[in-house]
Amino acid sequence: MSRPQTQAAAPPVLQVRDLAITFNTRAGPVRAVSDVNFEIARGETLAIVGESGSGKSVTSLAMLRLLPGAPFCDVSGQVLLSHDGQQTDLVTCSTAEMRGIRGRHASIVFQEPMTSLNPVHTAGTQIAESIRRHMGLGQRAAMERAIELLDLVGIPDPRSRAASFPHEMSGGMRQRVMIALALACDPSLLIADEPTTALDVTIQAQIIELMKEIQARTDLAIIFITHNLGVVADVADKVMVMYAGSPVETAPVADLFERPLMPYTRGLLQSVPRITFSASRGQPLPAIRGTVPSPLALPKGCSFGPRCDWFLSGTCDAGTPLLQSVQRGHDVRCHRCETILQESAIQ
Amino acid sequence: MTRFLIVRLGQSLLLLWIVSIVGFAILHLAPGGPMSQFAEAGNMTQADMDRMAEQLGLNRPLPLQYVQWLSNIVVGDWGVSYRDQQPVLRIIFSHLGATFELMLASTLIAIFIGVWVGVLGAVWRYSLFDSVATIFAMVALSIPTFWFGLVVIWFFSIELGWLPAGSRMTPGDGSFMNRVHHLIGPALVLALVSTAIWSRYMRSSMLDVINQDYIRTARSKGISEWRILTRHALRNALLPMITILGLQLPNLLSGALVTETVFSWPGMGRLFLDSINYRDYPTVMGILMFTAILVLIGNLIADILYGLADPRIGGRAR
Repeated sequence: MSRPQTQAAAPPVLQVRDLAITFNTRAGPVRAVSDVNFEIARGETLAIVGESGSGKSVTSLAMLRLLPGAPFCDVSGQVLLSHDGQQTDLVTCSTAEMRGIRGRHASIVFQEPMTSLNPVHTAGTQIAESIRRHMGLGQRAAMERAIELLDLVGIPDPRSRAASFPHEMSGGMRQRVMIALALACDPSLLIADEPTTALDVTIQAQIIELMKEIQARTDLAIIFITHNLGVVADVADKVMVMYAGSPVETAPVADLFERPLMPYTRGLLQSVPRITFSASRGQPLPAIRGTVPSPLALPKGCSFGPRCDWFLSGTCDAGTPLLQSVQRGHDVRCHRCETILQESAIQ
Repeated sequence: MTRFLIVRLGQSLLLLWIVSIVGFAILHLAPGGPMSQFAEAGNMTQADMDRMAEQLGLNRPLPLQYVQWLSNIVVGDWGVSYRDQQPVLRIIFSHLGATFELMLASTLIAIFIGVWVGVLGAVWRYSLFDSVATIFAMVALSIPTFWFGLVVIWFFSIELGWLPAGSRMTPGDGSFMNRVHHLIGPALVLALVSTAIWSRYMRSSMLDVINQDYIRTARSKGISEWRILTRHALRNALLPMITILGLQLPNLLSGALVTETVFSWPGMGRLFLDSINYRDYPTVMGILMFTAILVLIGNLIADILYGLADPRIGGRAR
């Protein structure tokens, strides 16, 4: 996505450094997420991809401090958000600062539109509440702005819809309301946590189109969390693949689809059903064998080892692999990525 | 809505009929009867007594007596009391005010304390406050009302001398403050059980709500925890409580019976107990049917209120 040159020097909207999340369960502390590092600039979309339980939703909630706090959960590292010409670390800032940022500079759209809106308040009231909180507008002005927003997200007859209760709307329309709510105060960062997973395919496409449109207009930075690789190819500039709580491969979107290096990413890409892939017609769809390990019992060495076709005893179970840069902007966490890189070059 | 009301009305009438049969049977199964009350007075001959029984219809077979009573009440004749020959309805209405006053006061206390104890217990789950509140609720539910009433009288009236030991007002005074002063003791006693029930229901309802996705959405808007609690959580958590309000009515009425007796409160509960002791059949049956109707109406109102308070049930397509 093209951006004006003047903003090239500005710091990225969000920088995440060494983010780690530990849940203190009855069975002891469980490291749910570790070593998360990324940054995202204005107008950019980062997709975070992974299976269920890979830690992608937890990461998104932790960035806005929406996880249950201590003593249930510890978050370490830095989440630096640029706003109003300054940077705030969302991990360490005060609760009051955090409240000033949530909904104002960084917003989130959740997966489940059916339950994410309050059933006893109208759509308009719920959007206006955020505007009144952050923009200091009065009741009437905030409601007018809410109606504009509903119009912006493509809801027909926004004025009467603003007076509708969530149960009077379809899932797709509720998700549009959620997006309007997230965009209410013109934030610089939008976290979309599987925003289309609960919707019909046609509605999914509409919602994604809407988000792209809004991004083109407002230069919004979007973190798009999904397990749908088709959606990734459609929306993302950069992709971060997560496995068992850590990023295992980060790359520009075209690079990742052309030259996936981490065997896990390759497995994910192969397991996408394709209509055009005639050679495999009649063959079972390849799937990654095994299941995601429990964070309580991660395997020794590479956490993907037991499920990996490239597994080499003595190397892969020796130590935890580090994220290393193989090409510009393309990082992989794999002991054997050099070998895989060479082989993929030969093919 | 109309259909709902008609069905509910039919169910209610059926229920009232069953209540009347069971009530009538139990009342007449109890040993003694109005005639033994007259016999105790000692100044009536057997011939007087027989004539009296004939007049009151007490010498007829029981099913016939029931049919007679039922056909009277259907046309609005609730009968007259054996004790003072007053119409039953008039006696009930003259005692109703005192009971309502007591029930209203204790319900307000129970809702106010119970709701907040429940809400805070849910918000600070497993905290010291929550544990103490839980223990208190269990103790309050286990304490017999009559015993607690006696303890309150002993402690606040006899030991401390702060509250009057009974009745609704000082004879000859009857000012507002005097009435409130008399109300405190019995209202607290009657509120005890309901407060405990309210706090438990409210806690579980609130716990249910604060784990909902829309609370997380509210939090993601950056609004304060207090506003999340009052604007987003409380209203949703209170919705199911409206039903509890209706269900609490029988509890309150039976609690009032004991409380009114302990505090010599001139309400319907005490009237009921006195009438049973006197085997005043028309008054006992009258109070029984009257309270049954109250409970049914209370539940109906709770259901209708629920529909009005919850936009999902109201069915207004705005």
